[in-house]
Amino acid sequence: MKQALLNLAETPFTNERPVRRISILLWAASVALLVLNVGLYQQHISHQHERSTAIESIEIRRSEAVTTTQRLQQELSALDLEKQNRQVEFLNTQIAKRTFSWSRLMDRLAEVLPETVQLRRVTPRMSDPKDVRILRAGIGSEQAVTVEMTGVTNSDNSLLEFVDTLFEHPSFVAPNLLNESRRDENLNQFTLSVLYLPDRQISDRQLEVTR
Amino acid sequence: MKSAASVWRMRLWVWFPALVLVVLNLVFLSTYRFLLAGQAQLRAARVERAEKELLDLEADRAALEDVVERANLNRERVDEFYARWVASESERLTQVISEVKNLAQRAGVEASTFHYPEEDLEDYGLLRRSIAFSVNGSYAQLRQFINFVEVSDHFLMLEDVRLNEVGQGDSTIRVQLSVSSLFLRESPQAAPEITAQENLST
Repeated sequence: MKQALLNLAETPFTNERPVRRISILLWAASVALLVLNVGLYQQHISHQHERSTAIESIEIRRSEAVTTTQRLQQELSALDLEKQNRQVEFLNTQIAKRTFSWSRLMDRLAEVLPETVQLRRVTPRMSDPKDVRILRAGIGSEQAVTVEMTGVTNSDNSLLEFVDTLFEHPSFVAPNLLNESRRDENLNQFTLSVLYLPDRQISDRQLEVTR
Repeated sequence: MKSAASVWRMRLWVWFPALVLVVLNLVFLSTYRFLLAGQAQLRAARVERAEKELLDLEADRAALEDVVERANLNRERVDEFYARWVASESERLTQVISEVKNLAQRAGVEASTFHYPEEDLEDYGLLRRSIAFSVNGSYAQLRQFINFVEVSDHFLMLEDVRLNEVGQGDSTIRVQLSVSSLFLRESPQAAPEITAQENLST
């Protein structure tokens, strides 16, 4: 026998719980998403504004830099830098020649010259720092002067002694005996060149050694 | 009991706006994520690139400014050098020759046989005039003379020292010296200009 369905409630029962839960969930999600979106868009707009300002400022500075660079390049080409550099190099050599102390060179030569060797000619030449001989000698940035000497001696040993003393003396570097010829029975003429370092300080101890 | 579908329909005003809002927010979020964030990244990269270019450009400018500054300084120093040390031969040649002779006299050496070779330094607008001469004197007098040349107020350069002969029995030596000085090279146009001015004034 079939049982009769009996509902005694005043209003029919409705299960609204899933709707309510889903609605709450949806509202919560929408609010959270809204907050997130507002934050992101606000951040985006603010960054966009910052970047636009930065780009504008960069463009202004760039245009200034380009203008200045062009002006400087024009100024520089008008200066004819290559010619000026040659001139400066030439004048520096002249100033070095003017300030070169012959007196000190003579003192140094007196320290190394054996009594039996007589110098006939002394010619200092301001050396180019890029000179192969200077580079090979490892002098660095120190000012070097090439001194060419012609002299005579009556003994072969004296000349060799002179060259040895030049090797030992701190003011002279890389002596180079260029030629030697017998002028008469007792007299040998020679030519040599040596790098002279005018600014090198010599201590008393070094002088004792070289003397 | 009502069916589930009718309950959802009945409460449509509660959940539907929330759903729409969620969908809209998701649309905005994906727009931001896939479009705007990419654009922002591109823009940031552009700013970064532009900043790097600007830094390079500014470094170039600074280097160029430095070169120009040094070149101008050099120009000033060259001008200063020319103004201080170099004059035309007409202004200073006789003074220089006279100075060398005076220095020899003061040192007590006997100077003789003067030669005045000239070298044209056209590229630098200069002339090098050498004064080659012989001196007789003791070694000490010669050293004194060399020292005088070194401390002279004129721009004198001792170029070469050559021993000619050593005195027999005494301490006298004969030395060939070459002293040079720089002079301004007078331009060939200068003479006609002066003539023209003279013509005008007369």
